[in-house]
Amino acid sequence: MSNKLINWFRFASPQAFYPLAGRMIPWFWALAAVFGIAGLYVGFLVAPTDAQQGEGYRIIFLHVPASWMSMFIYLVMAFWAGLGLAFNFRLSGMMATALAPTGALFTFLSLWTGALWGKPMWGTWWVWDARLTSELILLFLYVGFIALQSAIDDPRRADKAGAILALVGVVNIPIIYFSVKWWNTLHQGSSVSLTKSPSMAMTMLLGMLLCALACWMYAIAVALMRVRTIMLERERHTEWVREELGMKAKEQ
Amino acid sequence: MQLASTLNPAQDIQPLPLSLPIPHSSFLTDPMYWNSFSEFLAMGTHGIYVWGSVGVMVLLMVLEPVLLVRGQKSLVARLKRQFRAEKTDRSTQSRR
Amino acid sequence: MLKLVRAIISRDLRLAMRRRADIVSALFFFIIVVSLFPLGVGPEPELLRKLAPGVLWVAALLATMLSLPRLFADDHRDGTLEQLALAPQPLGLIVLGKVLAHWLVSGLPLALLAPVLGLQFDLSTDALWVLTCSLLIGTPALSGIGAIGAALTLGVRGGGVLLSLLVLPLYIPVLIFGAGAVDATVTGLGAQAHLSLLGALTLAGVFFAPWPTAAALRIALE
Repeated sequence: MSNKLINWFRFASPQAFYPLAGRMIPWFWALAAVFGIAGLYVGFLVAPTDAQQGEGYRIIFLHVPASWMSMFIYLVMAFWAGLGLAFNFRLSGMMATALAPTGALFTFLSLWTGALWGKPMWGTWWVWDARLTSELILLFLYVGFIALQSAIDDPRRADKAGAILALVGVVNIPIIYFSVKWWNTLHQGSSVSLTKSPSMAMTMLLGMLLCALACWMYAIAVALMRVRTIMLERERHTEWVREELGMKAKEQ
Repeated sequence: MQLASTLNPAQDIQPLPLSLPIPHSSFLTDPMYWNSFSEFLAMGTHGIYVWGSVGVMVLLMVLEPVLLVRGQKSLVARLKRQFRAEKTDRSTQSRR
Repeated sequence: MLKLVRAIISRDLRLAMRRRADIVSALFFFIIVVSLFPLGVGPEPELLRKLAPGVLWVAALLATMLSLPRLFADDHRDGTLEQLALAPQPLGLIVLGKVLAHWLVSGLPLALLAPVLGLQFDLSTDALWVLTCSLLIGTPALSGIGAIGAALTLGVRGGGVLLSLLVLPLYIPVLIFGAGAVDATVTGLGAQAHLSLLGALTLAGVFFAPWPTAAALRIALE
């Protein structure tokens, strides 16, 4: 048991994690490609049309996975950040930093595909629906996190400050979502019904799940790539970076 | 181009068959939904919206890793240059 | 404990009184922003009544933001903050005192001034009353949440803009319930539910926010 624990902690050091991540990245890319091709095939070529929404509904094969990932990545980011704050692992803070841009990307994609879905379905690019508004606020939270970390030069302080912000954000997200929902029910200005198709055909569900898995694998692959760059940058004064780059110092 | 004619009633929404114990979807054996490529491109009347979503999503999801690979490469090159400079520095001046 | 909080409040108030110009500028910022809206959207009383809650509340958010960067910066510069962090008393309590002091010089004057500005928007007496109440109840939460942002951006370059980027999204619930209370009064519904939720947010904001703020201050002082 304790032996296992030590094994895990070994990978928590950047020195051990850097080559491991390098070996894992191609596998995650392969998985992302397989799931992505299968998902797009099912969603765009096989799945039948939706009786109410027409062909435009196919956007949800992209929109729903992007939205799921945008929220999921924020939670994972806050988890790593909190872990880093509590136990002072160097790697955790780097993981949080590496995840933020990808999370922001998925949030943007969720808004973009949502707007393109809304135009043919509701006749408008944007409605102040609770879910859309919360997604927009989530984008603001991501931007705040990235801006705060990039404004602080000392990486240790950037990690810790970002961690506090991410945790405050996680506590606030339910409050924000609840308040936006409350606000939305009071202002029933738009008469669009936001219920998606009531019964979803099995094929549609399958396509969506495959696309979501593809996005998940993509997010892991990209985060690992970014965390490798961050590691090199931050640990450039250490011996292992020299060795990794094949520049072992002679005196050693 | 008529939307109604492209609708195949047999392939219309099939609600989840509750009698089946195992969720079944034979997507590999299912026939393709589209009759022609131009129909596929037109997406009913929603071509711009669907392809606008797909295009931007694919573009950004390709752009991000490309930028990351470039960033990693330039960082490695910079660090190597820096280490090499330090090494020659140390061997000529033998400081530290 | 209460003594400590009271001591911090009176100290910060005395400091704030030495720079009354800052308080007055924030108030005038509030007045000017609110007065710009009718010039932008036109003077129809019907429209203005509809806009008033949102405009007044958004302007109040922005006006509170103005004084936030100064919340810890002065103490940080002259070394007082380090002394306070080393003190045996919990830093969270000290922050609580500073938050309350900040509210007394930023939120409270805004709340007292708001009804006068509400008259420009043709609000009824009831609505003016609820507006004042909602600002009185809601603005402490703004000071509390803002303190987290102020501590995180302490000594960081571009701190002021960054602060608003961090804090404004977190202000959204307060804005919704604050403006919602006034709006509910204008449209004839009761403001009770909004005001209670606003009160809950303020209690949570004032009593929980000092702890992450204290943690952020310790990080900034490292």
